[in-house]
Amino acid sequence: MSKQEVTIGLLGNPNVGKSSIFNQLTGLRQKVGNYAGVTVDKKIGFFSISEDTKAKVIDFPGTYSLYPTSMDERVVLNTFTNPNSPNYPEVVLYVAEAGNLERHLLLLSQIRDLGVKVMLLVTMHDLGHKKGEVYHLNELEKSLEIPVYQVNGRTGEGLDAVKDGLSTMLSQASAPANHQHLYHPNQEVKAITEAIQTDLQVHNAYQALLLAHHYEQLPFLSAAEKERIATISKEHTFQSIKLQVDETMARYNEFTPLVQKAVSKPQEVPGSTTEKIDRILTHPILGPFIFFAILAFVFQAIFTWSEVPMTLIEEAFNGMGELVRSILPAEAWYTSLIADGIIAGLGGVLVFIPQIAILFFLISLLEEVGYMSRAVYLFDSIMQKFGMNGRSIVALISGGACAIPAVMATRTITNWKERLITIMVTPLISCSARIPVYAILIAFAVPSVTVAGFINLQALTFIGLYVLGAVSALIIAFLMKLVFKTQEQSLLMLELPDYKAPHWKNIFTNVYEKVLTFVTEAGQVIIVVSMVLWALASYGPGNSMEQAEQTAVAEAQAQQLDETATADLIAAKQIEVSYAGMIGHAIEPVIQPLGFDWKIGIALISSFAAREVFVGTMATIYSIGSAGEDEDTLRERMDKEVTAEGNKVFTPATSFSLLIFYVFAMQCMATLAVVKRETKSWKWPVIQMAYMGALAYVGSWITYLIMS
Amino acid sequence: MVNNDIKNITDLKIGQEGVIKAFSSEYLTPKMLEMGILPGSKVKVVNKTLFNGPLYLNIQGQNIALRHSEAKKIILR
Repeated sequence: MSKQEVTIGLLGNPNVGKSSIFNQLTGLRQKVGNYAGVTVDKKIGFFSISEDTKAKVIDFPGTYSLYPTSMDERVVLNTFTNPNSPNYPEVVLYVAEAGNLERHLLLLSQIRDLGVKVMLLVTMHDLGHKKGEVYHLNELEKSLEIPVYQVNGRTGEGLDAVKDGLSTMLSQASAPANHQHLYHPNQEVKAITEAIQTDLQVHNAYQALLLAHHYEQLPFLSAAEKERIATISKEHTFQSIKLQVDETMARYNEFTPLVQKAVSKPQEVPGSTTEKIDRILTHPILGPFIFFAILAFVFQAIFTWSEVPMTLIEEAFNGMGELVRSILPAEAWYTSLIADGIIAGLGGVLVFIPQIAILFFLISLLEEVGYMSRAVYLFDSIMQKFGMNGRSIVALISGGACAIPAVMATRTITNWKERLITIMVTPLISCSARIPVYAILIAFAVPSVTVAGFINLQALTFIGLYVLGAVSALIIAFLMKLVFKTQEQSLLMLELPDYKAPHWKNIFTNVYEKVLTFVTEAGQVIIVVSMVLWALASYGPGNSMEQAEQTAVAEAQAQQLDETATADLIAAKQIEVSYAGMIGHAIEPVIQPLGFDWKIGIALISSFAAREVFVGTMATIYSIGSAGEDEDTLRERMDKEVTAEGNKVFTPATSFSLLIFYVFAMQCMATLAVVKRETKSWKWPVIQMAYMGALAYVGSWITYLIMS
Repeated sequence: MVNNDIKNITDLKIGQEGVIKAFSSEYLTPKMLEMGILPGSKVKVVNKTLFNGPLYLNIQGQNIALRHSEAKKIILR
């Protein structure tokens, strides 16, 4: 039996704990937007209301009103002013916090006046009760004429009652259209809304008023419709800001007495725990130091906590490769494809899941407890000097995990110039995909020695690369600030939510989502790239491969090499004449000044899809014709690699030059696609790729000149 | 004559309180109202940052960070 599906919208102010309720309702039955593909700005989840009804929940971005200031908030306006939108919900679950009901009711009253069926879910903040507040929710239910439920996003308490209430509400024919609007516009405004209502056939008066306010920005209106609204508002000298203030004040005046009846507050509010914590954490001098200490801890954790699981994954892939080789016929062409191409390539990348998971875990933990907004507060004035906004710090920190969610996190920045600069420099922050590349190359660049008694030189280099990325991001941002001009106002106006114990389910869901995306998206790219590479490296034009083998065998016999050495020699001669070898040789003149040979050239080309492919490529190139696919054997193979003159390929100079290249180069198709989507033009991703490529080339070239 | 009684939030020291009277920026007014910053609300300065950076305020029980330039537009009684 097929179930009937209804669309439910989850709505509320920012920081209200909406996502906890979303996770409680849907569990892991969630979908997130595909980064590289179509724009899906919202999280969608599913749950069962009754036996024959399934709910599709859209988790809308948090907003304070239907007067958006950021891209994120605009999604809400665009949906709710357009009843034909596929996202227009049949019922809205409106989440509000008991502690600050007045402010939360502003958006609720707007949604209610649009004639949407709505239920109010009041979350009891742990601290709300401690402050000695008493709630009479039935009073609120009576005066607002909408069902009110008390819920707990942490435990899921009260959500069963909400589902029952949903069933009842869905069975009712329509929204109680007869209920009084909470905002009663004056005659002047009525004249405008009535004109728009007749002209554009809009049923709801408040919807018409919102069209008058926002028509220029609404994507679903046709040019002719915009023209009509423009004429009407000109006729009536429509003053948008003044009317918005009037409306907002009128709404507050209407429901503040209602809230006062429903909530009895104690006389004296003592200084909260949050304030006490923040005397230290947001201290003007101590605060920034604590921030950097937390960052240092995050990076320390990424490397120490991941050691054991990484070894396990490496061993698992080793075992898998051997298993494949022992089961499949040794001489069959596909044995090599699977063992050397796919398993080696995939293993080289999936081994970094623990590090990525830990990074995302710690970042969502900081977000969840409420620390992230403190970082925004602390760094706003510094970021402004570099043409950005305090909110940019969230993007830049997340950029340490992955530039894709980081670029999307810039949507909370209202000012376009600040947002654009943040987007343009975020990929300079070393992301988790650079970790595998750094990890393998640092071993060749610097010796593993301890300096000043306790600092490992390799670890220091690692930190140095991150700092290099961050400092260049600031420098580029500063230069862009000088170039771009804007008249647009910049805003901070940031809510600092109360600190709360982390809700592990939210964090777990977030990490799971991010890792899954990494595995599926990176995995797909890597499998394809590995297979293509394997084919390019295993075949050559005409009978060149056979000729190479014959030359190698003759040479080996002359030098009286043993069996392994002969196999290695054959592999080396063959890869040189293969298609991959030809491509590598073709670009060698360009990359030679940087100290790279044609094999590194192949890896550079293939990692333009994604950086982490570098290790997979190296593994594939070096393991064809030889055993071993874990990182250590790859490192050993790279160490043995010599030039025609017998010098080592991976000298400190070449390795350092390559490291610098990976710090700067824009080697991530997915990020470019997201930047294109967020800036709505190919201009910015192209500029981004060009400036980062130039930095990479010049940076590597100078490094190689100095080092060699 | 200079009226010493009219001051804005940035004149408050850490720990000091005031009551909001009005806003002196048309652009910021609706955004303040949306966040629950209303005329008549009590304000306390919890913390400040160096070099005239943002202010950490407690307005009617909720914590809000405002830039120096934004806080200047809030006139106190």
